[in-house]
Amino acid sequence: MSPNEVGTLLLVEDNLDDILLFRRACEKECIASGLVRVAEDGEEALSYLEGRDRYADRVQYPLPSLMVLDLKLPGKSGVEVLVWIRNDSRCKDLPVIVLTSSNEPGDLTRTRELGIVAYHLKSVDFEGLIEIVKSINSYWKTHPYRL
Amino acid sequence: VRLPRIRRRSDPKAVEEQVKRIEEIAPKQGVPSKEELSDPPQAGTEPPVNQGMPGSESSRRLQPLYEISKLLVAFESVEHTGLAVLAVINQVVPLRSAILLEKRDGRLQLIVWHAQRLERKDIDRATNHAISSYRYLVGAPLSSTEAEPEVIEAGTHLFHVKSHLPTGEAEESPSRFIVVPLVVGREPIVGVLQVEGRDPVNETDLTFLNTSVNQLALALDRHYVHLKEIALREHAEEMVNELNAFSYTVAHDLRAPLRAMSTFSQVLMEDFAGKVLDETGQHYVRRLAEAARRMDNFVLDLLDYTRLTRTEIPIERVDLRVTLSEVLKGMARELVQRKALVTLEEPLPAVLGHRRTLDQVLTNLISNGAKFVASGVAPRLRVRAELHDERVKLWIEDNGIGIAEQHWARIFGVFERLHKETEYPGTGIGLAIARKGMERMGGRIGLESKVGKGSRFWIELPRGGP
Repeated sequence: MSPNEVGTLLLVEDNLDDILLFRRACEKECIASGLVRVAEDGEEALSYLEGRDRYADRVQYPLPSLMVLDLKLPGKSGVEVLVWIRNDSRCKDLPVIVLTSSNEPGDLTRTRELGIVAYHLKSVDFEGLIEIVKSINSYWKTHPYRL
Repeated sequence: VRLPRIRRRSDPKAVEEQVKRIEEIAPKQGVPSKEELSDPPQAGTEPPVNQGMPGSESSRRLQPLYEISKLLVAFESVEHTGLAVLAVINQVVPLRSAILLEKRDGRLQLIVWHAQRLERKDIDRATNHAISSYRYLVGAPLSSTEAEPEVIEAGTHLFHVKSHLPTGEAEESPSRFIVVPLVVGREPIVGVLQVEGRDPVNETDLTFLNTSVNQLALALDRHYVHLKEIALREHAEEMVNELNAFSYTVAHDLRAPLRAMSTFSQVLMEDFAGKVLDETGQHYVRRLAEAARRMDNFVLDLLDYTRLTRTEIPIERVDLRVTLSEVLKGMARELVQRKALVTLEEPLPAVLGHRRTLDQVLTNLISNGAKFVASGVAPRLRVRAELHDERVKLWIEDNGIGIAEQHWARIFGVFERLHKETEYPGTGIGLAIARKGMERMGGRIGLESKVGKGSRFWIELPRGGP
């Protein structure tokens, strides 16, 4: 499958370290950096999906075919973003993978109810992150999705 | 010494409200109607109660005492019930005024009053008078600006106080003030009832007043103990909520920098080892990463432990076979790394517990068994269940280094370690999590062990059906 068919991965993450490390892990796993877009908080993620402001440029910012979502975000939380997505007629089926540092049962239950592909606890070491990105990538390749 | 200002119900609206409440109480609780209250029987006439009862003084007072105890059992609020009790007292001992003050938060506060043809200022003055009587009773010095009550007669719990309080009819008939302290057990006086009799008050009246007030005092005390319990429970709930919010923040914000330290150390190694980073430099970077990883494990374990104390653990039927195979799947990486072999022995029945908690308990016990082996020994673990009538005892047996009996109790404590971390890494919370988890599920945990001969940990839970 060529990269164009895979589409775009939208990472919703506010921690700059985590963004950098996620990009690095993607490189290691041969996910071209051009396929990964980042929204740094919940509000920005919604702007991206709705195509507001600069995100109106769908060549530069194509609609994602997979979202990797952190739960604790400034302002709108990850769960709120997920609720918005599931209630949006166009985005409601977007596959979402949660990547967060909380393993509170409440978060797990709530996001599962809202329909997610997987729930990953952020790993303290890089090998752990590589493992996670590997599994994200294999899902992504085998489940093509187009908005 | 100045007394704290009392809370007064001094506006006319409040007065109206009191009258209205008497109307509400009267039909509902079988106490006298407003008419009866505002127009108590005149001296010499029979009070309109207990007409069917024999005419002796004390038996005529039985029915009202019964009324009072009924009111107190159906305690509604201090104000409502206090007023209803005053209404009943008024039936037996015709009152010109009655004021009930109660000690609340260290202050004496007017909780309810009943007065006939009294102006607000008279009520305020009566209140002040009751306060100074109270202070007299508890031995506090009196303020010189207030009328000093003169004690005429004192019983155990009863004082007659002659007052300087002028009332509308003070000149015609001298007022008969009786101050009855509200006492509960050995507690200091919890309040005061001051009544102003319409007629001379005899011994039987005094006994009646004293008995009524004793009952009232007990009911008030019970009421406040109840309120205190509610407040404590609310406080506890609030603490749990705060702890949850705190833990949530710890999970996210405290772990983020640790993750950065650990992962960037690894990135540093990957990109610069052998280039600008010599052996010593690499060693330091590795230690840095290791320290961050250790602290992260610590944070995660602590969160697990506190979660066990702060969250609900609903008990459900849990299949041990399914749970154990899931646990082993989750530990696969660790078990392979340690070259550990875990044997599950059938039958593994269902138990009553909590899936996630049982998962944690088993993970910690198996991880322990796989970890604490002599160097060079491959860990071998056996998990088997014993069926007792209503309970299942699950054994986790290892070929590890064993634990001396004097340490058996200690190892279940938080942060307890028997070995240096360099020998056997870990946070020292694992077994504490296991113990707490078993406690919360209503089960038990224990061990048998001999140094050098391995350990046999066991957990026990109710059977989850056939």
